Amino acid sequence: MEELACVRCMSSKFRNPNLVFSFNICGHTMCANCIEVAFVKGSGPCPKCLIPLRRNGFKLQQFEDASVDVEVETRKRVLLDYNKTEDDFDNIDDYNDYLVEIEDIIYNLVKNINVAETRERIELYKKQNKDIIMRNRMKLKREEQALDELIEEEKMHSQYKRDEILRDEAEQRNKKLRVDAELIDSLACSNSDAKDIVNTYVHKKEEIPVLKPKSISKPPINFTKFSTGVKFNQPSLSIQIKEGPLFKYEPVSHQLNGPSCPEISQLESLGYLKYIREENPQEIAGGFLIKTSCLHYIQECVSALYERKTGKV
Amino acid sequence: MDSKSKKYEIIEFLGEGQFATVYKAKDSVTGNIVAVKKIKVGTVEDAKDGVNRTALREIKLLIELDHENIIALFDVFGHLSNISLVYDFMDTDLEVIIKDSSIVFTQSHIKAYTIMTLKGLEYLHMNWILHRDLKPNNLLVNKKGVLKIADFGLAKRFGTPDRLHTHRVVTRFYRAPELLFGARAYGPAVDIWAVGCIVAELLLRVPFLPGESDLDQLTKIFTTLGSPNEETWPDVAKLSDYVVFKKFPAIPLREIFTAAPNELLDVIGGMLNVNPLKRPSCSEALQMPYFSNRPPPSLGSQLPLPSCLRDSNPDDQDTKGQKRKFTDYLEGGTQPKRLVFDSLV
Repeated sequence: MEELACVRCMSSKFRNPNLVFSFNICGHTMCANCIEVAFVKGSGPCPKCLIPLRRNGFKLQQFEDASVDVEVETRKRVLLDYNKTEDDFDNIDDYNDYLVEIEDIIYNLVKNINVAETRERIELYKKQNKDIIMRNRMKLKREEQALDELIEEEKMHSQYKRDEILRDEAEQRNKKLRVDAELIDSLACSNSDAKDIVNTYVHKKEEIPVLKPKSISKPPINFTKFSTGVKFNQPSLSIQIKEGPLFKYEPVSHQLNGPSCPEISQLESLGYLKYIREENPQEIAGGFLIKTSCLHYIQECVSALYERKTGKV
Repeated sequence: MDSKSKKYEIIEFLGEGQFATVYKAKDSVTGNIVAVKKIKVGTVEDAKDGVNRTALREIKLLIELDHENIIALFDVFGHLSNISLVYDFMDTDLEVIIKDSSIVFTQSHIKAYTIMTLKGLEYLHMNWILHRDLKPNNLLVNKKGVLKIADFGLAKRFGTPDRLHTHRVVTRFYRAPELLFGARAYGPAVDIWAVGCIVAELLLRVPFLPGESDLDQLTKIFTTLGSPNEETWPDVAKLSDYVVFKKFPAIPLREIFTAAPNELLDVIGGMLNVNPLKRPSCSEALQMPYFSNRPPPSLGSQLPLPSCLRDSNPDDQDTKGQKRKFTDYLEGGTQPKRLVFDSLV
C-alpha cells in the first residue's frame, strides 16, 4: 500500500508519526504545517493537481486511505440535497432507482468520471426538487429539535429526582440530629433514670422511617412552552400546521336556464351598446357603468326561457 | 302560522336591538340550532308602513340566495302581529375575532377570511345585489370556521340605470370615497372598497380609516391613499358633494402594512383605489396571485375562535361573544344604521 504522505513536503507518517493530515475536495493529503504555509491567504491551488482550494475546506483525515474520506465528505454533500425518504415515493422500485442514482453520482464524483455532467445533473435535480429538498431539510431539523427537546426534558426530570432524593436525605439527617439533641437535653434536665430515657429515645430513633424510594413524582411544570407547544426561545418554524390545499379560483356562472348570454366584455363588439345612452360624468365618477345595466337586462330577458311548466309556479 | 312558531323551541335570549330581538332556538323537527330574529312592531311609523323596511329588504333578497358564504334565511313566519326570521346560527363575528387580543392571525387566516368574504360577495354581485353595509361586524363566523355575510338590511338590487341609490349607506369607516362625495349612481365597487378596509383591518387589528365625521373620513382616506385628481379619478369634481382637498401624497402601503407580503399589498392597493372604476371586481380580485400563492388558506377547523368560545363544549356555551354581537348587529354598531328615505330612493 502506498505510504500516506503530504503532497507538498512529501513527509509521511513513517518519518514523522505526529503529523496531522488533512484533505480537501480533490482528495490530496497535506500535513497541517504545509496547509499553514501554503494557504496563508485563505485559498490557493492544490500543489499536486492545481485545483483551487479553500483553506476552510480542509477536513481532518480520519481514515488511512484519503479516498475513503473524500467519499464520506462527498456523500455528506450529496445527501444534503438528495434528502428524499422512502415516504416521498409511491413504490419501492422508484425509491431503489433513486438510491442507485445517488450511488452513481457519488461514484462519479469520487472517481472523477464525467464530473461536469454529474454536477449538471445535481443542479437540475436541485432545481426540480427545490420544494421537497427544503421541506425535508426542515423536517430533519424539526426531528433533531424534537430529539433535543426530549433529551432536555429527560435531563430536567432526572435532575429533579436527584434534588428530591438529596432533600429527603437531608431531612432525615436533620431529624436524627434533632432526636439526639433532645436526648442530651432530657438527660441533662430530667430526674428520671438515665437508662429509661436512653431506651425511649432508641425507640424514637427507630421510629424514623427509613427512606423508601418514592414513587416517581412528577416534576413541577415549568412554563417554558407556549400553549401551542412551542418553546419560548425556539424559532417559530417548528409549529406544525396541517396545511390545506392551495386556493384555486373557480369561476361561477349564472344559472340562467335560458339561451347563453354574452360576457360583459363582448357587449360592445356585439353591438349591444349602440342604442344605449352613454354614462354622464357623475355616473363615471361614481363607478356606475351603463354596460353593467345592459348586461343585467339581457340576463333578465334570457333567463328562465327554458323553464318548463311544472305543477308548481 | 301558529304551528310554525311552535316549531322552534327557544333555548336562550341572545340580544336585543333597535328593530328586533334575537333568540337562539332549536328546530324541533330537524334538531338544528337556529337564530330566530323577532322583528319588533312598535312605533307609529312602523305601523303606518306595515312591515319594517329593513326586515322586508332582508326577506326579499335573502330568500332567493343560496351560497355557503351568505347567511341562510331558513324560514319566515308571522305570529300575531309579529314577524320572525329564522337564520343559520352563527357563533361569533369577525369583529369579535379581530378585537380578541389573544388571537394571533397568520397569513393563512387572513387569506381564508378574505377568500370567503369575496366568494360570498361575488355571488351577491352576480345576482345583482349590492350589500352596502360590509364591515367585520356583519361577517359572521361559526365554530367550523365558515364565514357568512349577514345583515341585508341595506342591501339593494343594482344594475338598473336611472334608478338612483342613496349615498348615505355603509358604516362610515368602510364607506367608499364616491359615496362620501355624494354619488347617487354607483356600483359594486362600493362593496369592494369595504372589503379592502376589512382586509386592512385584519392586518392592523384596528379600523384602517376611522373617520370621525364624513369630512374627516375623506381626509383620512386622502392623507393615506393620496388626493384624487382628474387623472387618477376622472370627473371626480362633477360629483354633487365634491370638496377640493389639499394635495396629499400617498403613503406607500408597504410602510403601513410592514408585515404583509407584496401580493397582499397589491390586493389591498387594488381594492382601495380611490377611483371606483379601477377597483377589481370580486372575480378579478380572487384571481390575483395572492390567493393562489403559498401559504394556502387555513382550513376552517384551524381558524381562531374568540376566547369566550374556546374550550367550551357545544351544548354549554358562554354566550358573551354572541350577545355583544347581536346587540351591535341590530343597533348597527357605533353608527346609527338607518336608511334615509328621501324621494329619490
